[in-house]
Amino acid sequence: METPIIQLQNLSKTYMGANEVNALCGVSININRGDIFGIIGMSGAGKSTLVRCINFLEKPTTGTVIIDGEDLSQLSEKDLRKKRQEMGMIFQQFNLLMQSNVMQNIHFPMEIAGFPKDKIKERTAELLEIVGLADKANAYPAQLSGGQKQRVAIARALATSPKLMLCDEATSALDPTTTRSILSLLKDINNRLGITIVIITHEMAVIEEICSHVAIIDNGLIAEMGPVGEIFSRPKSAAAQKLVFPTGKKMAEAAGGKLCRVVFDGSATYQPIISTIALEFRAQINIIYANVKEIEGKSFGEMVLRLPPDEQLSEKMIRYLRALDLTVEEVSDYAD
Amino acid sequence: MLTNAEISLLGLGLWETIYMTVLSTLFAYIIGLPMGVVLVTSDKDGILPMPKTNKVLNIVVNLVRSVPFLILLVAVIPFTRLVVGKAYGCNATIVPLVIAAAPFVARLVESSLREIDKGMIEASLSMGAGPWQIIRKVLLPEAKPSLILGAAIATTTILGYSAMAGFVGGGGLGTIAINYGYYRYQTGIMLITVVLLVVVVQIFQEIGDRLAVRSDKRK
Ligand SMILES: Nc1ncnc2c1ncn2[C@@H]1O[C@H](COP(=O)(O)OP(=O)(O)OP(=O)(O)O)[C@@H](O)[C@H]1O
Ligand SMILES: [Mg+2]
Repeated sequence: METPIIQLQNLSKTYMGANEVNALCGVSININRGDIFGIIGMSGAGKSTLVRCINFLEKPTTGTVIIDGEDLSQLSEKDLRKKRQEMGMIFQQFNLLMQSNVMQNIHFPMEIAGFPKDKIKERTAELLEIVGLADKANAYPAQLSGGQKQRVAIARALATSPKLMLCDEATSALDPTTTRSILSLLKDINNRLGITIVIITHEMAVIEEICSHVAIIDNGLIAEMGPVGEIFSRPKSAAAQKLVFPTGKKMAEAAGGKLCRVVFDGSATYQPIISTIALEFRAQINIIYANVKEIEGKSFGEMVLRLPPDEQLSEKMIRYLRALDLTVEEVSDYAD
Repeated sequence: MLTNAEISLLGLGLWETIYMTVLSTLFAYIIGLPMGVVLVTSDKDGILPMPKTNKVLNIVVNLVRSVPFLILLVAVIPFTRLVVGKAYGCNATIVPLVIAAAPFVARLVESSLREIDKGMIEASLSMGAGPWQIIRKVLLPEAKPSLILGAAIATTTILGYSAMAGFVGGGGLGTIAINYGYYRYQTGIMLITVVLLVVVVQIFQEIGDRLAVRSDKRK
């Protein structure tokens, strides 16, 4: 098997200060070439710290970062800078040069890398085409929308033809429609240019939309890691279960027994399951939420059910559903 | 009304004041701009942390800034003699003006550079930029409008100092004001010098404001 392009081995990061913060506590992740790898977690979980360790903007306290076979801690300052040119990075706040126009912003990384002038010009035109901003070459960032700014940032990150791209909450400042268009641009870049992408986010929707793999980080530790479809349908850790749970619905409202999240193959419909249960147990269950999602090109059905208050009965129902080879988790704990 | 001799005297004074101000500001920036940059970059959170350099520079800046200008002017007379050959007149005034203004300029530059969003520096680091590239391509260009405003403040402050130097034979409008207004009680001439100073300050400030607004692409 090919060696992973990113190997993070046992990374720890302790911020010294008035009180020490252990932002990362022994994180190991391998990311393969061509993957779109998501890292998700709550605020303060250590996501930004982790992604900043990948290009050594933050030096881990202990542990090793190997990019494309090279241990970053062994590189000189100069070689590290060269290495960073192989890794593009985009940010939540875009971080464009506000006093430079779009074209100059895209020139910037290439000037740093010492590209010849004509090459810079040629490449800039190409990049503007890729991100669909050819008509904005002379605009200043202040004149662009959030989505357009992020496109400029993406063009800038791609300028030196990196092998991988790091995105720290790249869509968190954007509305849902713009988020989707930026994500599809990233997916397109991954497809066409074969660039490995690491996406940091706190939104499961972003992971579901484009990631192939996901790591869930909780309090500086990896709680769970694997293909997105698998985590979505069979979350094992509490952190994962909490993340995949559909949020924003009024779960607590309907009184009754336990809440359950059920996941099944999206090509089947959920009607027969519900009616079979109703018939089998002669009791009612409420569907609180139901949805079909496309993840990694596969569709998944997802339901949240309110079971009857009777403990024994609901236990039986859960066993029955599991016997049908469905994933069932009780989620009563975090219905807010 | 003014005699021809008085008019040409005032004209010369005005010219000398502008000459001293502009040259002193220029030299003060030649020294103060790099100092301001180093104050920012050598900071412990800066792009090239050098705690010792930072500390020494801070002390030097504070030290010079805390000496009142007139005392500084007198204190550096031996040095002034060494540089320009005499201790009075316009050229001689430029020496203490530069010494007094350079640390002030350094602080102005420092505060302009500190206004820059850390994210931009982070982005440049992620692209593999070195400290020199960041200074040249990020810090200074991004701070340009603020630096221009700072330059207007520096210029007008230096102009004020140059007038003060007039008390001790520094040349320019300050000397005229003291000679005519104080020693000969010709209040009219003194008032005219004051008006001229006010007008020059207004003009410098206005130019600075306009240039700053025009250069700012953040709208
Ligand atoms: N420079 C720093 N100095 C001290 N503590 C820090 C520093 N940077 C981050 N931390 C702390 O480390 C922990 C992890 O921070 P990090 O920024 O990696 O979280 P995050 O998952 O990116 O959160 P968010 O979603 O809010 O961006 C937090 O407790 C934070 O307060
Ligand atoms: Mg973060």
